[in-house]
Amino acid sequence: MKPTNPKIFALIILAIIALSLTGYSYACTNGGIHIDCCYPTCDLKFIIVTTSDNEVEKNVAYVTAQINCAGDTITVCITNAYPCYRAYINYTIKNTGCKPVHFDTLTITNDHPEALEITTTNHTCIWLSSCETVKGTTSVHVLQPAKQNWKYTFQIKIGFSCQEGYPHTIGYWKNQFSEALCKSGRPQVPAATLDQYLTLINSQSKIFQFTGTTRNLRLQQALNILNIPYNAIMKDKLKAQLLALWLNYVAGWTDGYKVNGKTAWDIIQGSEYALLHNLTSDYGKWKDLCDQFNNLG
Amino acid sequence: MRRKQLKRINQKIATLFLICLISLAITGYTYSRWTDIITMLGTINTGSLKITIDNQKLIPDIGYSKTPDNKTVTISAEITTGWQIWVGITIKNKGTVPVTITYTLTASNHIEYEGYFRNETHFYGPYTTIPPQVWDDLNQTNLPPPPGEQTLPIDLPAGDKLVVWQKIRLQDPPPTSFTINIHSEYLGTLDPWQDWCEVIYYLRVRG
Repeated sequence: MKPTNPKIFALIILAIIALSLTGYSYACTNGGIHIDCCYPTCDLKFIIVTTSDNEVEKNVAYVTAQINCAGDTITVCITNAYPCYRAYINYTIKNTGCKPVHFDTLTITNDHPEALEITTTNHTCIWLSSCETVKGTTSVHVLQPAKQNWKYTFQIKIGFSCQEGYPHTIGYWKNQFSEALCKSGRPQVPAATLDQYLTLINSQSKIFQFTGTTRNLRLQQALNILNIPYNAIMKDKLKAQLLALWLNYVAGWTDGYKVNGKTAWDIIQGSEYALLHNLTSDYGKWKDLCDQFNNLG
Repeated sequence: MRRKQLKRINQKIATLFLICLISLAITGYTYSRWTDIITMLGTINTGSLKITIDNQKLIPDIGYSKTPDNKTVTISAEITTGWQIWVGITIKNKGTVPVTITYTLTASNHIEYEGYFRNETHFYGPYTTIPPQVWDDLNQTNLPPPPGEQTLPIDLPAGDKLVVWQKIRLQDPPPTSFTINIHSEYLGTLDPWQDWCEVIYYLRVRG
């Protein structure tokens, strides 16, 4: 029994190597391997806060602001305030997580609007990419009816949520189209949805027009663009990555992401401009940007 | 026995599997619906506005009364033609905010007051420490007004003092049994907030 064991182990190891090589080569032809060491987290923090006020000559009232250790709360303290006094709290918020964050809500709680006027920068509906910062200002205005020796309070809550989607690689899209064309497996994105995406791309793109008379023809047309041969020319490589980026874009999976400070829309515009004007020397640059964006997930 | 043991093991595995399944589902749900808030909490403490008569001096010293809240100094006198008095007061800003001082003089019968009386009022300051030449050094032999007076309105910072010297003189002979009340009111304001203090003269012509 003993002499057979090493042979079996060798065979198993060989099989493992062969399988992993097969997997690697398959992954390479389908957009490469992307390893993200960063655990996908979503977090916003206040990182800087400064204060100022409308007092020029006199220094009567004082405003201070502090960020707590967790970075999720700013505590503002205004002392010796009086009617017409106005304090400004300038803050910087940073996305310290790995995923884009969307500002959803802004709630200002002011129990004494007759005495206090609170205004603040409205970040609602904007996206903040990972490591990106956004600045804002909150203004506290003490109004005429404010009482003497009184304590007023206010609260501002900024609600945000994490980007649930993420860009997918060219390989992912190739699989979706292949599977939608009944060649293999079950698609994660249904064929009807893929067709809708192509319609959306048709209406916005100056490069891509999927004019097939049937859905399958249109899907096949897209798959042909994505399915570039290994030795394809740079223009076709760019078009393949650009189409994958377009698909991510119309799927809503690019919101909040940036590559080199560029949004998906910036890269789409740049790539299409290069293709339209035959800026061949730029093809490589835009292909790489599309590729990087598609691999952000 | 073996069957029972196997059954127990299977139950344990099933329980563990279920726990894993539930926790995975919860993790997935919380991740997919991940939301949070960041907050700004603010507290605003407002200041206070208060002025009082910190000190008073009459030349000649005919006596006065003062309310416990240091808001009103009252002077009562029987007077004849040529009577005059210098009344000095120091107004202190006892609040926490600066105030602007203004002044009004009213009489119970304004026409008669205009006809018989003359007055002059001089303001000095604001001071953190009152210099002796505008207060301590002034007396029957060294009469006010001292030099260096200011014009109204005067801004009085919190904690500072303002010196006021006022002369009331009965210039022309009034009718007998003539009485008059004169109110010298000092108003401290900061926008809608205000406070006051006053000197009241109750004057009666000697019959």
